[in-house]
Amino acid sequence: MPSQADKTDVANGRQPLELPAWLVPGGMAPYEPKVAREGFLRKNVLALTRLLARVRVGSRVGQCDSAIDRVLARVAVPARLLGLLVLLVCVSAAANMAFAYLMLGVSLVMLAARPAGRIAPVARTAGVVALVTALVMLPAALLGQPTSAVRMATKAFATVSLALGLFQHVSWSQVTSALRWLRLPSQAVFVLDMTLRDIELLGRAALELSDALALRSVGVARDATAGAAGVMGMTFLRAHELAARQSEAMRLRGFDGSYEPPRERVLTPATLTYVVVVVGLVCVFVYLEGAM
Amino acid sequence: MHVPDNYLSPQTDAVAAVAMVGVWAHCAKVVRKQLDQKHLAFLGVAAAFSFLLMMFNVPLPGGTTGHAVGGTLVAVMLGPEAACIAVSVALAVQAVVFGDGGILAFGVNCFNMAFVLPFVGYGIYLLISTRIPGEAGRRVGMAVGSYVGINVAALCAAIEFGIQPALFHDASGAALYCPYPLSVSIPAMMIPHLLVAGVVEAVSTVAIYSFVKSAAPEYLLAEDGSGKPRRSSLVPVAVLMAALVVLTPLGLLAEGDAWGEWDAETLGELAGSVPAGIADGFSFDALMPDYSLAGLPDAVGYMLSAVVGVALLVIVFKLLSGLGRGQAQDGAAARA
Repeated sequence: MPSQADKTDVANGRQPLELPAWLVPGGMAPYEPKVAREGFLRKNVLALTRLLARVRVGSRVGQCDSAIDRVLARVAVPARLLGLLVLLVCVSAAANMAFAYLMLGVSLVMLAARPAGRIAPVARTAGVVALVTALVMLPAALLGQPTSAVRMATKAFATVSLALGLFQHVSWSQVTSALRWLRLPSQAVFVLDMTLRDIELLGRAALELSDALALRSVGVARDATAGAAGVMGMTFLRAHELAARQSEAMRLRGFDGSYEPPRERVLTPATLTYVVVVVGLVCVFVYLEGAM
Repeated sequence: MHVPDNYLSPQTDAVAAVAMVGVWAHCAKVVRKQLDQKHLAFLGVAAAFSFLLMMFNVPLPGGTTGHAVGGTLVAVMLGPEAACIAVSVALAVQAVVFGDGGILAFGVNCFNMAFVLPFVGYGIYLLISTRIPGEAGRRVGMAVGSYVGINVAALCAAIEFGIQPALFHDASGAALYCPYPLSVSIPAMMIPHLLVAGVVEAVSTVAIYSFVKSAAPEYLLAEDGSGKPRRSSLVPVAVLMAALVVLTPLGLLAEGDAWGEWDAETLGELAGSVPAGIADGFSFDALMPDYSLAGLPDAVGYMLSAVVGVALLVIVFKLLSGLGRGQAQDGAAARA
């Protein structure tokens, strides 16, 4: 049956418009692109960029998730930072696994005290790192040392969850001023500041790019690695752009390259108690290593 | 009552594991329906109580040791299906992290302690509490239910041990797995449980339930909300749990092994020889075997094990409750 538009065209003395076959309703050409096998790209590159995007310092500043976090919030950030560094070194250097298990217990108790919604991000990130560590140690397991893989994974989980526990609850400015209080040169603080700040931003940028790439791609991509390389290349360019913008913004705000140490009192009773606990843990470490 | 690997034939382990798959599926379905996020998170606390109770070994007649399980306690607090899931997860943590109970025998241990114990205990509790009205009826029901529950579970374990020599032996008639027949395993398991372990289970069930009911009644599923609303806080429950953790080294005072939980060397000394299935059987290196750590005093290692176990159970069930909330939100979004 001719449509109204066709009738109008005939009435005006024009030939009706003939639609191509693929545009006629019901006459669409069959087009089903093959499903791309991009599992590796999605599961690895995207997982990696998601992990980078999660490195977000200060995401829970001012919010105490548990009673333990409330107690720790009273401790000066420089002491917490130094304590964390010392404990991480002890866990990494521990030949006797008892100390690593002790710190695993500490990190698990800190996690268990938090509400369910706050456990998942830390547990997921620390779990992924532990899993990757176990995979890297797989050759040792295959050569008859399966406990090595378990030990390294345990250490990785404990250290990552402890570090995330601190960095989620302190702000950037607190970290940089704490580093200055620890007599770290301003140049070194600046490099750390820029690097850690950009890791999260670049992670998010790479994630957005990868998502866009996955959404736009139709059918089988012949060279999936080129796509991944493109994402990484764009991320690098974005890093350059971010660094330039950051530098300009800091200069405009009068930043002269020097960081100020914290102005508030560092040696409070809570801080001293924390220091005593850390020293006690270091003594346990020394005792256990001597007991080997 | 934790059956180690290789004491039962792989066939016995497989039958119990297959039976438990159906039980777990049913229990998971019921728990999803019955428990909201708050109660699901509290299930982790209940599982932690069960885990801690299993660490308190008491000396039993005959030179062996035993422990309470807390299966009826969890069943009365949150329902028998929830108790099955909670005790199963506690047993999994014990098997994988602490080497307590076998990996292959996980299904058997769950059948005895996570299925038979809470369901029998809860059934008897219901039977008595509906006939004797009031709080007294509840307490009597709990005490009798938990006592009978742990003894029926011990009887199941004794039967599983005792049928091995009759069913699985070599051409010379020598047992391949547990060498003790029913005439030995049933009295060896039942007398100590009837005399001591059952009483410990009943006393701990009533005591912990009463404490939780007075401190945090809204976390108990059985509480119908009648009467005046009371303040409910988990802080006293956490304090009780911390106290139990600190006291766990008391479990080390009971010397000797539980019946049927010996290592191959000790079994060889007791039975005269080590059956082939045990000597050449499956072995698994746990993270913290026997709740101890090299270099640490036994008491400290035991306490640290308790901390790790309790924290792991609380985390697992909090994550599950978060998952449940996420699914509920997805469902609500889909319905909208």
